[in-house]
Amino acid sequence: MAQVTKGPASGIGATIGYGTPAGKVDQALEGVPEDQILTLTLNGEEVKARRGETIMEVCHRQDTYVPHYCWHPGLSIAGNCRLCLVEVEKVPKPVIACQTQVSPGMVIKTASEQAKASQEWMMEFLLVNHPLDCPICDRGGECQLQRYSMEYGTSHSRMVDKKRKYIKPQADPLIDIERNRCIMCTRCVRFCDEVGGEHVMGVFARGNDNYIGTFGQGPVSNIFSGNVIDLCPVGCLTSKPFRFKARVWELKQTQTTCTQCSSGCKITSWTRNERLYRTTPPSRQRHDHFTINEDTEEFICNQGRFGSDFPWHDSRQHESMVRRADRLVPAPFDDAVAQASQSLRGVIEKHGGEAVAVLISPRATSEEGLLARKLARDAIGTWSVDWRVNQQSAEAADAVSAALKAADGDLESEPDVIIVVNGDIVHQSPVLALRVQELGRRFLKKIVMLGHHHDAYIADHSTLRFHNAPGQTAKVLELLGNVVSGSASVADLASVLSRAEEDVQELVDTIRTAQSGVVVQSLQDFNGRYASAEVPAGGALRAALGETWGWLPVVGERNAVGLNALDCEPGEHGIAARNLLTAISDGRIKGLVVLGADALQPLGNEELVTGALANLETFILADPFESEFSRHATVFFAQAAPQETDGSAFDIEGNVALVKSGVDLPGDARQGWLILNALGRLLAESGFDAGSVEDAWNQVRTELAPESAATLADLELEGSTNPAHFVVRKPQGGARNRASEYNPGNYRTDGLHVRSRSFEAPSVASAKAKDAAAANEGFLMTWGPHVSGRGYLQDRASIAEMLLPKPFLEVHPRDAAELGVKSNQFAVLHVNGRRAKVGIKISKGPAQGTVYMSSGVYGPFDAAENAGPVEVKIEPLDELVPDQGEALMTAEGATESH
Amino acid sequence: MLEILKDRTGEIERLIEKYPSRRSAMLPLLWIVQRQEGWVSQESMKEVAEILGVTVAEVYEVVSFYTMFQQKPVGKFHLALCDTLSCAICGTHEIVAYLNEKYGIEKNKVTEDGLFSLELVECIGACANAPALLLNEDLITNLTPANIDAMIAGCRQKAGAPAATA
Amino acid sequence: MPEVAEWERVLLPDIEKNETEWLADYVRKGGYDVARKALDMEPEAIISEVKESGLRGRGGAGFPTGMKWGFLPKGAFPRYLAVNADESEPGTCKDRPLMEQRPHTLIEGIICSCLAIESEMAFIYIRGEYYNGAKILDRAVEEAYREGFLGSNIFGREGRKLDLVVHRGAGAYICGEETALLTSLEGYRGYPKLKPPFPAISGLYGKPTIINNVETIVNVPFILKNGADWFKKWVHERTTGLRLYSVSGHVKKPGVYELPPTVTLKELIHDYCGGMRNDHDLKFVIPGGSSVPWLKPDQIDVPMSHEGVAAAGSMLGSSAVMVCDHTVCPVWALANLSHFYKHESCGQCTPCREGSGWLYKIVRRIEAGDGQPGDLETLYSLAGEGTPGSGMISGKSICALGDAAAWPVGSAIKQFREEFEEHIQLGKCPYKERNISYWMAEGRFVNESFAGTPVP
Repeated sequence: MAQVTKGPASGIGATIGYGTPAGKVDQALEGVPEDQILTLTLNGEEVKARRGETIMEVCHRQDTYVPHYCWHPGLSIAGNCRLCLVEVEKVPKPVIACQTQVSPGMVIKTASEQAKASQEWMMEFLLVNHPLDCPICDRGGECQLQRYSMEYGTSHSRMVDKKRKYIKPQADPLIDIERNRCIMCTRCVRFCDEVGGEHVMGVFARGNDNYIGTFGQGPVSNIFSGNVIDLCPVGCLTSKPFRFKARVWELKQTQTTCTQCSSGCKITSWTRNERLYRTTPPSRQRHDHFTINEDTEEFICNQGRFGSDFPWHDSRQHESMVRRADRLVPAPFDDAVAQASQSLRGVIEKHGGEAVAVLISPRATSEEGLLARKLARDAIGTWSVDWRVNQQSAEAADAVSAALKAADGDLESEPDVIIVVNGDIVHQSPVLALRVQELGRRFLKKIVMLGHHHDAYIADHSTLRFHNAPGQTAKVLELLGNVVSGSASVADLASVLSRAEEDVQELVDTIRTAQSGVVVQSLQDFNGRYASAEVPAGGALRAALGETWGWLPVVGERNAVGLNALDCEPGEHGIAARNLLTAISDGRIKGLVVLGADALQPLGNEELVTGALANLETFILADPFESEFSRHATVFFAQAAPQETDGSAFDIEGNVALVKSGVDLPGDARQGWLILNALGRLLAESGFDAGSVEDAWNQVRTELAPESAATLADLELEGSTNPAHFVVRKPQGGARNRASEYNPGNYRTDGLHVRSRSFEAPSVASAKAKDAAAANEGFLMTWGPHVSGRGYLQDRASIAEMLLPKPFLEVHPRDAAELGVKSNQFAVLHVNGRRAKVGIKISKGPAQGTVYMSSGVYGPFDAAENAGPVEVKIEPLDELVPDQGEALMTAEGATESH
Repeated sequence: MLEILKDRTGEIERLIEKYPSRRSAMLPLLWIVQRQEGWVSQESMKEVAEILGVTVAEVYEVVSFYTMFQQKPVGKFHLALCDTLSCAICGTHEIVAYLNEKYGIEKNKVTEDGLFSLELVECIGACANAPALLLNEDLITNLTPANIDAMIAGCRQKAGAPAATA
Repeated sequence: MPEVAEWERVLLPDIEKNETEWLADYVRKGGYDVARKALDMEPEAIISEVKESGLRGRGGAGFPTGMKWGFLPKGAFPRYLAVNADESEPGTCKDRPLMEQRPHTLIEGIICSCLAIESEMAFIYIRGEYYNGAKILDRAVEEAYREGFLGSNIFGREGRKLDLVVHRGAGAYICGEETALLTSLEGYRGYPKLKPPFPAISGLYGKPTIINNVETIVNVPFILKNGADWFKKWVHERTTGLRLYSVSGHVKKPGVYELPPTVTLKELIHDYCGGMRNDHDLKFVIPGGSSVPWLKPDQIDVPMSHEGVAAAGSMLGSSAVMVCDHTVCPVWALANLSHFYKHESCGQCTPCREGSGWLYKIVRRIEAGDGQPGDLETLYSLAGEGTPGSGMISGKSICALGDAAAWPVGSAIKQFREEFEEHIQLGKCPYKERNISYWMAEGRFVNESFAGTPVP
């Protein structure tokens, strides 16, 4: 394993990473004006620092570790744990390093007698009420309290009195709260407020008896909530699914990337033998071992963290099978390959190669994609290979392909302005949305929201918001491009947006004065229904914006960028995935090869799909599970699940990363690239000679980055400084805007939240009761997919039901006022003659007159059944969504009586 | 959609307008709730959250921080008796014992008739007239068993309850 | 003994009457004339007059008011004035009569102060327990608005405006800490903010803010009316002006006394307050509110100025004098105060949250007779000498509440070490039985369950 730094070496976090490699010190001050640099003395050594930096930042850049609990580089400064007290000469009291800004000539001592005594005393205070039950604590082995006790504490406690005891709430299905162990650092509270997007966790009661929790013992309801587990420096917040399953030091850690969505987060798989125990952000080296870095800024979403254990579902199939008469019987892998090639050959000879189609899961690695394409084109002789199974139509799929090919934008360059077009990105590619939000929240970049539906999570930190009616987005984008390039007037755009001209002028000025920018355009709404119109419009806007801008179209599929770049698509000659069922029923397709049955499921309801499969002459399926689909297979290959596969994949910004299996495959299961390679070898004379995944990777690399000599192993190195790193992107015109620095002044320093509260709270005066039945009709409902929604793989996760989003209908605040509904109130939704009971959520997302629902949520409104936004009627019920909590809150506090 | 505060929207809007930030109306709103309801229920916290555009967790953080907000129903006459040094050395516990023995009013409990509840609180700023208590919103100072009798009798009369049977 | 009548009383001349002076009365006696005059003064002139007077904050810290005003950054607007009427330091009860009896003097003081600091919006943060004070202020503010003394175009001056909001707290000592007062006013838990930045730079809503105590503000119109030299008539070293002393506890006539800083603690107790109740012996005095170090009877012949009390080893603080006679067990008294600080710590930072709880547990245990050898050493290391910066808590917390929790402990042990040790050795409080006999002799109400004076 190559040297790994303790802090993040890439991405936004890199600017304040610590434990940095040599050269970082100079790098950090590079380009900083001379008058902004000052000199100070740190532990006897003269060092330079930027004006406005805190002592903590300087220390960490200088590799001087200052202990801390409440301070976290990605959160606002709370200054409450007082563990980072250090001595500053001429200051009578010790000061906290996390908040105190450096000044010229400052003499800082982090290990003087005064500093060490202060740190030791704070440790003693923190242990006064902390139970000494490490042997039964799930944090044992990776606990910062344990570690600091050894490094900064004393060996004995003088506390002889009874310790404080709290009632243990059962607040969240995923996160266990053990308040007795809490040290009140409030990292979790700040995380939920700042990164999670909603202040759902809080500090309750006061003083010595205060405690953390949620209102009414409700869940920690945000898609990033699992990160509070890693952020918690002690054993207070632990993972319910992982609790007591294993001690961390017994597990094998594998550095890989998540296979759930296009964010492609770096993760660590914690495994033993053939089982995954937990998924966390990347672990880092500390001294001689690897552990979760409690200062990590590489937050991951709950789907990635908790939803990745689907390979261990009961329906897992360990053996390959071949059809004997009416039954599938287990067969050795080689026999299965032989039988598959034989039956495919039969179809090809009878109907021609064109009668065979190859479908590939969008989660497939690039190696699998490349081999699938070669299998189709070179071995079988068909154009029909496709990964785009989620798009609404072949046209929409083509638009997505075109957009991905033309994409040239990323967030890593920290653009001045981010235009976010449409979409519920936080539920489609969560960490991408997090990074956009972070640019607004921490780096004070300007975020502009356009389209018929705004990502409510990002909108919290946006500067300008313009809604338009569904179907109008393409027009708005085009017009905006024209206004910026001078060929249309502000008035034109203002009239389309139904907004005042000065508002629109502000938008145009914001764009014109930006040094750099990126258009983040979601193509996922109604599964891309409007993509065919909006993609060209997005492209036109990007062209009008000029050299320093980039375009980042967003889809949620894991390896969309890689599979698109490798051309695993049918083009104009083949049959697109979306048309496959029709092509089977009208006899154009007689044979089908599917890598991952999750590629079949989105094509239609089960009856439709299995009906089509029954009509095939041959159906070769590689998949981890036994399912309705596998029953129709001619040959079934027990395949490795996505996270059991080795290879590479691209994130939505075009960065390549390693996917690495941490487990032993069960039974006779094989990785997908191996199955495709074996099959190809029997069908074609050459081209299928990959003896290892490294060989397959070399083929990918040769095709996408011929100048690179990187090995797959090289990809394990982090980030863009890695020579092996390459991006499938046209170079972006603008200079990389790396100068922007994290400024602690961006945060309120009092530990309170930093979010602008521009929420349009319903004015109580206007909260009139609904007057007539007409008020609740005529809403347009739009929807988009959800990363934790129903799905072939998602449903097989052990706690799928817990991750499944609740059926909430997002309603515009003014519409809610008109309807007389409030958040958490039930309503009956009438759509296409059907009725469903949903919860109301007042949200910034939908435009007035429209409502939004995650399509992953609710069967009757599945995108597969509805072609576009539909008119719905909302009938409020006089009933509230029950709180998940049980006991009266007052019973939650400290039980100790005075 | 407000239930508890629905008749007070005008008052609330005027109140909110006084402040440069909507959220500053947090304590005043909670006072309105407590004055009307006698305590601050979970439901009312939700309404306050809705009015201010914050999460209900944020409201609960505030409610649970300030000890004058009652999170459980209290008696019609709530006695907040000071127990910090100046009062304590002048007979707070004499008063507690008297209330307990003569009237059956116990600390942190509501009497069965729902009339009285007693809470020992920290300094209420009447140190020079110790011991002192707050009878709902009225400050009663220089407490002695004798003026306690008068106070309780007054409360009972107000509530139309029969005089004490002590 | 000097006659009380000999002393000029300015702030509360008729405190005994306990009547509210409403607008009509106030104006008839020349009220708001100073505010009119101040409207024509340059802000710097007002500030320099206040600086010259030597007026120091009356909330506890005693910071020079004029100097505080001078910290405001030039050209940064809006600015806010927050009047600290949270008066929550145990023993202190001087601002309540000020607000209840002279609300318009306070409002006039606010107008003058806002003119000095060029603020157009002021808040009075009044503690929740002062229901009556808040009602009176609400009505007085309404009167002033109606009369055109507040609002836009005040006193008929085009473009001069001042809004005043009475904001009620809800039971949190910490909100008397100036930055906690601001977070509370912003609608949050009353958490003190990290300093720097100080509120004069970034305070309420992130804007420059001045926080002054009620009594401080009330003094401003008198200073502007009579001049700085008049104010300096009453002087002891660097403490000027008449001052309200709240005297509580075991004296014959507890109350609020308006006196010059030259008055000694001894005079205050034995002359003005008529001496010890029941002619008991004086055990100890807390001279400046519950947070300050205790003084023994032989230390009380000192002037009640910042300098005078400091020389005796304590602090003038909020000039609240708590007098305890020989029936008061110092260990019990300390447990009472430690409970107060444990209860009132905001819980934000480690040393104060954990330290205040730990201190209370130990002191309470000693008082209950379960003291152990070593307890006093632990207490000492936690609380230090009762001086700033010593011990494990003082100087390590976000605000001064940590110090306030520690100082009484340090000083009580220093003053009464033998009694603490006696508790530990005996395994009980030696005062209890003795006190019951006292009280029974005095005809006080004592019942079976009432053995001594337990802490809640």
